[in-house]
Amino acid sequence: MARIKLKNILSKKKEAFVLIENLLNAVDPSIRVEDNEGKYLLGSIEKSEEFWYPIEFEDEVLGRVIGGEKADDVAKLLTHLANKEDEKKTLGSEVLSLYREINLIYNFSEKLAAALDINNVAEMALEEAHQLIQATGGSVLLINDKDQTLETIASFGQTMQSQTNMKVGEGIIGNIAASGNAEIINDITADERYTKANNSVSSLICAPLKVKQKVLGIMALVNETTVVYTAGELKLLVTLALQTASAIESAMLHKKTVQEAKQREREKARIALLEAENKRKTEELEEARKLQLSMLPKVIPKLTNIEIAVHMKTATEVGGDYYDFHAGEDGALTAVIGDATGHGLKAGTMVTAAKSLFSALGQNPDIDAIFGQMNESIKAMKLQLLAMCVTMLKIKDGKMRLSSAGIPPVLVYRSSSQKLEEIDVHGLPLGAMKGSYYHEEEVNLEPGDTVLLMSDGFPELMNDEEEMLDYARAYKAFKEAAAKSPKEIISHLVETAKDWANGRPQDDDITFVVLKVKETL
Amino acid sequence: MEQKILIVDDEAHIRGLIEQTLEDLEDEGVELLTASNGEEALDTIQEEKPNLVFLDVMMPKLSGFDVCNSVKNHLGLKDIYIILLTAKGQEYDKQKGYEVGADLYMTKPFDPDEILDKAKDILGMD
Repeated sequence: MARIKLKNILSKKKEAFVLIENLLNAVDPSIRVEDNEGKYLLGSIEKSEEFWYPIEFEDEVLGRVIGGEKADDVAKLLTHLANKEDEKKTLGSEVLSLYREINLIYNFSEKLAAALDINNVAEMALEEAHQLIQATGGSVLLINDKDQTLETIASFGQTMQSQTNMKVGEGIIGNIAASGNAEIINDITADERYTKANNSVSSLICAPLKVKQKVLGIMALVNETTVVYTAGELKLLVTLALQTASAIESAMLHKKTVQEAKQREREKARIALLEAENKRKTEELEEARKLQLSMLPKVIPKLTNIEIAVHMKTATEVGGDYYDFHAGEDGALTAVIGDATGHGLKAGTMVTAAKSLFSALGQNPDIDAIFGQMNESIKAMKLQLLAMCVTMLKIKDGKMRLSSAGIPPVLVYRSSSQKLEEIDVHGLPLGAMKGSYYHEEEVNLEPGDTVLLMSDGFPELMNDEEEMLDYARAYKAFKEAAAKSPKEIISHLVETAKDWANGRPQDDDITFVVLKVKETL
Repeated sequence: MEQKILIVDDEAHIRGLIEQTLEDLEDEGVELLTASNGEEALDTIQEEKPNLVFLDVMMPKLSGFDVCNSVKNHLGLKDIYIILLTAKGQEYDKQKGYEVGADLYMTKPFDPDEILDKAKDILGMD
């Protein structure tokens, strides 16, 4: 269909119609104007056989003017009007094209403002660019800051890239990314940066995605066949690219913000979980401590012949120490000190079992028999590797019988010689092995003699330089105070422990039971 | 029945641009009419009963608001689809346009594709 139609120029609604009609009437009323199909448009209704003159536009005949000499001038006038109409339409197209661009950029800006996903932004940008610029393919690529490669985040049709990601500075696209300058290359094969990878396309128009002089990537449109991209199209692409870059940067920031917020939430949840776990453990430890301490005798026996003092300081995670007494009606005193294996509630369970057994069996005069029965009973409980280290002694009529099962030796300070005696009776911890054998030792006790029972928490106490107190120092500390009262001895031993630890928390319970034979039995 | 679009604007170049945008519709039997002021617009509307009117607001003597009000509220021609096409961008103006019965309010510079799509839509064309 012809771009210019004669019937539109000579439409009755147009001013031109009236003017030309009046002109024809004045010049030659017999002149007739027809379109290129012979259809009547203007002038004489009668069709004559006179000569006709073409109304031409470019290489096309729009219509003809039929008549005498004057018809030629009329034809030339109408040809001139056709050209003017064409100019008007061309100008109109230019303006409409600009209107289109303005509205596109406006609409694109609105869409970008709402977009938070990088790929989505890139796809929208390509779509908008493709609406205005001829292309058979296009892509948006972002620079990977770590290795400086260009990664495609959106594309359509043909692309410029080879199979593997190209680097900034390599090839045509890489070079444009490095320079940060928009370019038109109407014939790619003639460009010195051309590589065989680009052989599917002929023309390229490309703009960098820049934010404050930093190049984030590039936006490129390509055409399979050679086209001549204009400076106006490049300006348009640069405008779209700038908006796209800004939106991509916002999207990246949003993504980072969301990730950081999620990370903070995860951290908060982790800390909350840890705090809950800590609270649970602290409560559990407290329960274990309460249980262990509840097993201890509320009242220390007050005897006419023996003075008794005790001390227990539990570790943060209670270590299962235990002591107990039984004063028989026959005047015999039974004392026991114990140290369950393990810590916390496990150790507390063992202490509970030991106390029950001691309550039931403690009056039996034979310590080895008591140990034998306690061993079998604890073993039968199947408390999973839990055992009880214990020393039990019985004092009556100036004699002390004792047996030990896996606990530090009993120390006796002899008042007469001022010397220390170590009574080391070997035996496996109660509950460790079925059928274990236990034996007793018997020693005499004179007035003024002092017996020390202790758990291994004292000799194995660590200081702030991770050195152990050890048994030699423990014995020395006892000897230094052994002539004093049981309470004073305990005070001295506690002071020794405190000085040694020098602020380092103890790893295990520390327990002392001191028995001093009074001057007269 | 032949469908008609009336383009009303006191500026000849705007009339020309809208005509040029819609000219392809003429090949599909749509008649494009024009008017250069409000009074001419009212006369043409009453005579031709167009299906769609693109109506400028800022015109001497009779504004687009007045024309729209007359057509919609006094002449009983509610079925005529009126698109106000104007450079006036205040929210107040848009509100006023809808109050006088306009079907749509578009701002200048208009989007040619939007104009064509809307026209096709109103006239029931693909």
